[in-house]
Amino acid sequence: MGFWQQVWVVSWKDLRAEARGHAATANMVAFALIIVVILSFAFDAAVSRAVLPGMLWAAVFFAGTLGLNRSFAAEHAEGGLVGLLVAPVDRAVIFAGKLAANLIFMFIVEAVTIPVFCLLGNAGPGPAWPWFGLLVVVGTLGFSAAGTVLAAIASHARSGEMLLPVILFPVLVPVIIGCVQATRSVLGLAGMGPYWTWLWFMVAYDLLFIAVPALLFEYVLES
Amino acid sequence: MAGEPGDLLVVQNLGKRIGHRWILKDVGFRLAAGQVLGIFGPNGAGKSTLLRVLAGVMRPSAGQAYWQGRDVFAAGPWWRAQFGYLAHQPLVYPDLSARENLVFHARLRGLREVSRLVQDALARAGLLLFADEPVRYFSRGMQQRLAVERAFLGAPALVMLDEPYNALDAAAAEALDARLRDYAAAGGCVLMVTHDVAHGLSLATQVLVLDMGTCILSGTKAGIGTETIVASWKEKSHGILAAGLGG
Amino acid sequence: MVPRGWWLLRRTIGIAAFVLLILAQLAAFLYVPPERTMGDVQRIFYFHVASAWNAFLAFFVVFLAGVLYLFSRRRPLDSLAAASAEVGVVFTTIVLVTGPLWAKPVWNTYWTWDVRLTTTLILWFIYVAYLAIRAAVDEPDQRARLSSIFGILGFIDVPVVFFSIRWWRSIHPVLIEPGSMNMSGPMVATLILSVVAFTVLYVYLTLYVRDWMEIKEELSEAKDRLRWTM
Repeated sequence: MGFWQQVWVVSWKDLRAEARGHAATANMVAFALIIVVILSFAFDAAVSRAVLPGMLWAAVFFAGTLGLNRSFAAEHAEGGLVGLLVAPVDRAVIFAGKLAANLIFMFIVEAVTIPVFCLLGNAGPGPAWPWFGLLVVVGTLGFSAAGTVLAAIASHARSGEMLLPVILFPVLVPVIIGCVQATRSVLGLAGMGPYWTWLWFMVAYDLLFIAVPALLFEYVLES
Repeated sequence: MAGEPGDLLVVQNLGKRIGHRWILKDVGFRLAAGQVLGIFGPNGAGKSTLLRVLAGVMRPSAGQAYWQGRDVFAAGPWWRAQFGYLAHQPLVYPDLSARENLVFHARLRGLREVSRLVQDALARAGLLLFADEPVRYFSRGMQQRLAVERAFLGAPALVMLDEPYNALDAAAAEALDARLRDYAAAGGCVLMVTHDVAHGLSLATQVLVLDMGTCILSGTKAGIGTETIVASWKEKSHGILAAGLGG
Repeated sequence: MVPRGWWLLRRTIGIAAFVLLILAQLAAFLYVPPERTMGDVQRIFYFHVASAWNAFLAFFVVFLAGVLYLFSRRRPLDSLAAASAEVGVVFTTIVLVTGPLWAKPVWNTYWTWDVRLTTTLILWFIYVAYLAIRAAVDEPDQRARLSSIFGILGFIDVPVVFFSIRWWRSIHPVLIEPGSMNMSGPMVATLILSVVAFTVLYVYLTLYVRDWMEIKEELSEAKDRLRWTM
């Protein structure tokens, strides 16, 4: 069976379990939306449009940590992780499968949060929407890659859900800066020149944080 | 690499250390097709650890294991395709249905005709009626039956079972007995850890007794009875107790 | 057990660190002239840079020891990584404290979002994350393994963070630009002396903490062994 088929099987399982009313995605969406609103109060976005890109990504990434916690917590609970460990697949398949599932959950959350954000902030990418979409994909991929491996690490620790934000966000700084800066370009707060620098930069980050964890994932899961 | 030509599974000097303590030390055995190895011992002897290390859930600290002459610790995915594993926990996903759980593992193993295989497995486990309900609503016994089916998916050449009779009622236990006998008769290898020495002995062809991580009795079943086995580890424990007390 | 020569060597390093630190302070406060534009407060620079160098060196050691541990699974390597992290976070904190102390009198602001200083700030958080992981995992082998992996991920992240902040800064030039100083001969000499002194101090402290951790582990093992025979 091919690598990608195996990855799809692992992702499918996570997606199926979530669809069964686990409600992690619903919680993530609700959390992201309320953060957008709270940050609007906190930064008086009506006055300064410059804070808008930061608000969006802060909301999306903070809400995203909820979903990341879920991705490994359930495995440990019923010993499902062992079932994955004895499957005749490379450990990297487990990483890729979890990554893909987390990515899809993030896209779902973003699909709701971004339109609402544009509405509340009275801002939007306009004609630059394909670039915005590209940026969302690349940025979310970086978040999900670092997030998946670090969630796996945190799941072994006591109170891992509380540990995850502490270990994730310092590592995510490049993605956060990149997403916010590229969003500024797309929203018309800056020219499109910087957009490409940031996009390629995030692509580099994505490659790094997919390749290295994939190699190390064996060590994360073993005991 | 020691072992008779007919041996499929050869384990040598297997050890597992956690921290400074050796949970398993110098464990070895051989298994040929159609043989059933009963693994016995008191609580904490390392029986489950032995299966976990062989299954690749834990990394070994020492020793080797070979399947058909190939080093299993060097060929992870290949080795994992050779066996079915039943752990202490049922290893099922509570939010998926019984059918989905089996489909997941079947597809992960790259099996063909998944829906038919799964249908047969559900029928054997007597779970057809509940096939599409989330497993979280199953009784422990139902989960165990499901777990047994998962271990046997795709008719692997070897099954490693850790306390398979846990939570099974008399009928299900009998069914499992019959299944294991058929399986071994067809050439399958079985590694079985069980607390119930008498029951285990009735099925086993080989015996391995562990205590404190080391092997204190091993070999073919011939002539070894339940009393011998239980006495062997009691003796060892008593010996240690005596030594500790300066006796 | 450890050969007797080791304690002697370690003590020698400690004495060397002590002597070098005294010399470095003498140099920084008495020998070197005050800087042209910034005056005496600039002297903090010698310790600021020396600490910064060691903050990053320490994390490199955390990374390297982690990689070697994953290959060899030898516990002293993990103790070395943990020790380097504990000492490294202290040096990082010194950088983050001396930076604002220097910035305020000179540029009238505590924080300048200077590229290197901001990267050091993120490094501080990565250190904290590393130590948090170690604190949250009880089982020694697992703790060693997970923190080694995080050490690797954190280490490859640092240059990426640096570049992202640098480009971010180039887009948002901050009014205060710390800029470079023209350094005369005595200043360079003092700086080198200071860096060497702090590095020797780092080595001494890390070895000390590592040995302490190893002894603690051996003690708990001995206790455990005793418990099992009872």
